[in-house]
Amino acid sequence: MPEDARDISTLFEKKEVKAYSMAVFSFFAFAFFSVFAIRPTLMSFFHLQRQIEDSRELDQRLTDKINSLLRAQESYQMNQQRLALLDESIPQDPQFPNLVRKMEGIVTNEAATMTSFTTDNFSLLEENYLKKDEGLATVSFTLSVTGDYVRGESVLRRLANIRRIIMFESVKFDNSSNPLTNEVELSIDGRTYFFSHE
Amino acid sequence: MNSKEWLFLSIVTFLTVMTWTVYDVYHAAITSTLTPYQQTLLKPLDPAFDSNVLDRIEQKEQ
Repeated sequence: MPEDARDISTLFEKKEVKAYSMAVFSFFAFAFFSVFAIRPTLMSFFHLQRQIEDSRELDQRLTDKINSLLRAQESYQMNQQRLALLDESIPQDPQFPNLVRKMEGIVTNEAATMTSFTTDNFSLLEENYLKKDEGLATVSFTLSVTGDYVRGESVLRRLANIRRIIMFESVKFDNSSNPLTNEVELSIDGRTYFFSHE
Repeated sequence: MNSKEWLFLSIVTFLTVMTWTVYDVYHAAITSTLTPYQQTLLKPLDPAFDSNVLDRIEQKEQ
């Protein structure tokens, strides 16, 4: 046996060296196998487990969504005939002449007189004049009506109760022009809405 | 290097590798595998239809 090999075997026969070398090799071996075998295996395992959980959740939630869609479809079919009411409240285009006609009809019906009607940002002659971004768009208007107070109030109530949604920004009753009569001037600043789409 | 230094080095290597493994495994376990498209599909849909609104509009003047 060569002298070097004899030295190594004598070295490993020492109890202390034997214990240390076993521990050192064990730790290195464990680290080596962790990097190349244990870690990839555990990662694949947990990744696949997570994928299964996610797929189960996806399946469950899509099933819930399908049920919701079925219920929504059922509600839609039940109310399909009445959905046109929504278009009356907020139409797809301004339909401002219809609204003006309606207001005029109410004023005439209540035996009052419409003295002025102005809009800030809208032309009755060109409906496409008011092209805005997609979504809810507004048209502002100012309406003046003369008549006695009761008729004015009645006009106001009926305007507030028409299907087309109107928001009143300000309402003013004024009798300063004819203080000796019971005639008042009703001024309404309001706005109405429509769905603007390109 | 003497035996104690080798032992220290092997323990540090072992602990580093263990920490790395645990971190990666934890990361794999908690990271969602759903794609952004699937996540948009998961947005809930409320099927409730408020027919009271239609009733109220219906009662208004045409």
